Amino acid sequence: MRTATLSRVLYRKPLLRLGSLLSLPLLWLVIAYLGSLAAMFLTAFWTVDAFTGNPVPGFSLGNFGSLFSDPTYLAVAARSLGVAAGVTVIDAIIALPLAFFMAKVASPRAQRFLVAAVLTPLWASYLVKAYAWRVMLGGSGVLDWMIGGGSQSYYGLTATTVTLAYLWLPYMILPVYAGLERIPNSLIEASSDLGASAWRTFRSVILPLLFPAVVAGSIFTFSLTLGDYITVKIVGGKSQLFANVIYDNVVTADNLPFAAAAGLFPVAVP
Amino acid sequence: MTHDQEEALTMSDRIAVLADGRIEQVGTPVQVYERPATDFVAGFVGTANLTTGADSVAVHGVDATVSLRPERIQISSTVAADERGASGVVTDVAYVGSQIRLVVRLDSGIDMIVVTPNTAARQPAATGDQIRLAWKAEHALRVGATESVSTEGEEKMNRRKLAILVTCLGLALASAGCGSSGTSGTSGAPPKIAALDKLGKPEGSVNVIAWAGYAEDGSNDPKVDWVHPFTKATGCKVNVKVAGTSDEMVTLMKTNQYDVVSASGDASLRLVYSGTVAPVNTALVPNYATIFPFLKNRAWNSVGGTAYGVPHGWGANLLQYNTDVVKPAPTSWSSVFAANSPYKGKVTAYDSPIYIADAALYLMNTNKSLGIKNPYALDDKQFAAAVALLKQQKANVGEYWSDYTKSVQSFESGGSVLGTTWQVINNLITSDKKVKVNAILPAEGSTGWSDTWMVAAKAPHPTCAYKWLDWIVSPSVNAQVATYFGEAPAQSKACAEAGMAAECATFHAADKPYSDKIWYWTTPTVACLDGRTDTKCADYTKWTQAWTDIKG
Repeated sequence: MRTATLSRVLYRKPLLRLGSLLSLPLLWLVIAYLGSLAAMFLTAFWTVDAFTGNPVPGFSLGNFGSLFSDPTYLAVAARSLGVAAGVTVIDAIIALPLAFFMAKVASPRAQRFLVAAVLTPLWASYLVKAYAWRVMLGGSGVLDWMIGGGSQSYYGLTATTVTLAYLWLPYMILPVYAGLERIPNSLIEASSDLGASAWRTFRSVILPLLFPAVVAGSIFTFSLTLGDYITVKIVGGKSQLFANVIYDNVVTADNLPFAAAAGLFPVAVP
Repeated sequence: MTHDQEEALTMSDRIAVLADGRIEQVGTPVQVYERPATDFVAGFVGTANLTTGADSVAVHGVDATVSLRPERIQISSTVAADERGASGVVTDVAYVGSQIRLVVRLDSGIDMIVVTPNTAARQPAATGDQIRLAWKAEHALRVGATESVSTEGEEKMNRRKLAILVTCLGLALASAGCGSSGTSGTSGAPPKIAALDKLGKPEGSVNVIAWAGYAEDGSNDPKVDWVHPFTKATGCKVNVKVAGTSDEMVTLMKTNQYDVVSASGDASLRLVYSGTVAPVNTALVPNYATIFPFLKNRAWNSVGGTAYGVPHGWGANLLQYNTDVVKPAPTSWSSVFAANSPYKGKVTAYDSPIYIADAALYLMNTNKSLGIKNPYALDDKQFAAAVALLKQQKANVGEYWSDYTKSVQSFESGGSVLGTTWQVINNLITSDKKVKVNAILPAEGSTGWSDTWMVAAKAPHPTCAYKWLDWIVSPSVNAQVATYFGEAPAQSKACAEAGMAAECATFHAADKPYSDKIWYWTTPTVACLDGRTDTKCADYTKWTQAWTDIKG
């Protein structure tokens, strides 16, 4: 009968019900997630002992000063934003027609298959995929063989953008597909019944309804790109992105306060 | 304007039905529903059993497109004079509350939807029942259009619309393009920490931070194992943490969970000055006595004559080139630093701030006016010159490497043909036999590493730690490590081990003049390491920032 009593108490006290439902995730969100963000924000004002590398608590704007005054960091930040935007645009261009086909044209059976096919690459390790691109774009790789470049490797920013666009594509397709599925077919039919061209239907009916889904997908591709430092190390040749600056300051320079200050950039951008 | 049919029929005086932007029919609700002008209207407004051609002949006796509303069909065993009838099997029954909806497969094979009012409190028929249907002939409407379009056809048409939409979507998208600065620390004397004065009873385990290949337990190669014999001999179980970079080692050691670390020169002093490691009482390490003298009490493993560790092994950063591509064979680092290299885009360089020392070493030999005495002690002017040289080199670099397997792959695929390397990388490429490479120590000498085993100041297992130090530099183990990793052993007696003579010759183990050409990795500090007191040198933090700047 205890469960009955418990359920009666929970039924009578909606606040308690809500509290017990949300306390655990809230605890996680506030302490582990927001807490670490706050800790990072505070650390950003610390300094580091130049020789031992030990962080020295205090308040200094020096980290931000060098971050904003050094043209290198600004250039790297701009480059990272460019790559993130490029990846997002590429993924959107590929995902929209693909998701449209999946949601509106393909038969239900094919639909299930296509969703599975889109998800399958996520089962493979990130590193395996990145290294596969490294081989394809490398000297005597597939690309080199196709255009007959003579053992040239094609690493660089373009290679990084293409590889990242490949890696994050499912994260764009899935929200767009889900968004398209929620648009009733009748709206599209109504639009064409009323004489709208396909482009007009897309622009005036589908796109406005799909906008939240595209935004959701873009947040994935954009922020995942902004935080990535591994792909650019594998296929980026000699280029670096902003996440590399953070990584280098954590691992190479052992300068956690500066890394924290730099780390605020990808948090602040969106 | 609406898509809701009931709303349209209820609210409107006149209804216009549009399809594909064309008006199909204009009329009152009754006209549109009762007299559909086209098959589209018949199928679109409400539900209709549409038949065409032979099907119409079979069911209605006319060759035309005929629409029959489901609610006009009755379940009846008798057929009146003004009625038509048909028999069939119920294939589906749906209870819709006010109505009951049946799907009946007629004997002619055509499916008919029948809707009957739910007047009796029982089902009019069940799935599988054989029933007879009847409807007034006048309710079977000939649809105005002559074009023969079935319900199935209508579906196809919708598909086509969507297909067109998809194509346009693709085109439209394509055409629219769719759209630190740390405060300077005092770097005087390191914190006073006493060395261990005597060994106790082994604690049963030891936590080791090591470079890959330094503490092998047979898991990578069953024949390469000097960890288990150690445990057998001393009773100390070994927990190995492999670190990828010097910096990772420093970070890990600061957690105070580890006993010993195989620190390179660019980590060792940082560990000493931060009080993370303690001096080593070399009297407790019997094998220390026979270590090559030129490795003892050097700047990277001692402070003021106090040893902070036991030398383990050393090697040089070499210049590697693809012998089929790079002709004539290079003899100097100028091949990687000179502007307008013929191997532009295929030069590779080590991805670490410490690589700035390689540029400084080159300048030390080629630009005497800068007055560089030690590539790790660079004042502002010297430092700027080294950074400028590396920025110039960047134009020739195809990629930077920090992971040695990446470097191996890059040389083997032909992406890199010239650049800095380690002996172990050269060995791997040579044994793979995919490309021909050679590695040389250029005329200017080179940077390199000399590793030191150090003991943590707060070591949880000090006795086992000392046992490990002695074990790892014992002649046989030191020889095994040197062979496996590809470096010169520190233990002079290691070269006397079976088969080690050739090994020691390859790595110039006892070759002091060769070793003197190597500038071992050392952490740059504000206090110049070359002894200058009239100026300040760039510290490691500055090196790191400059490295980011060089890579742009």
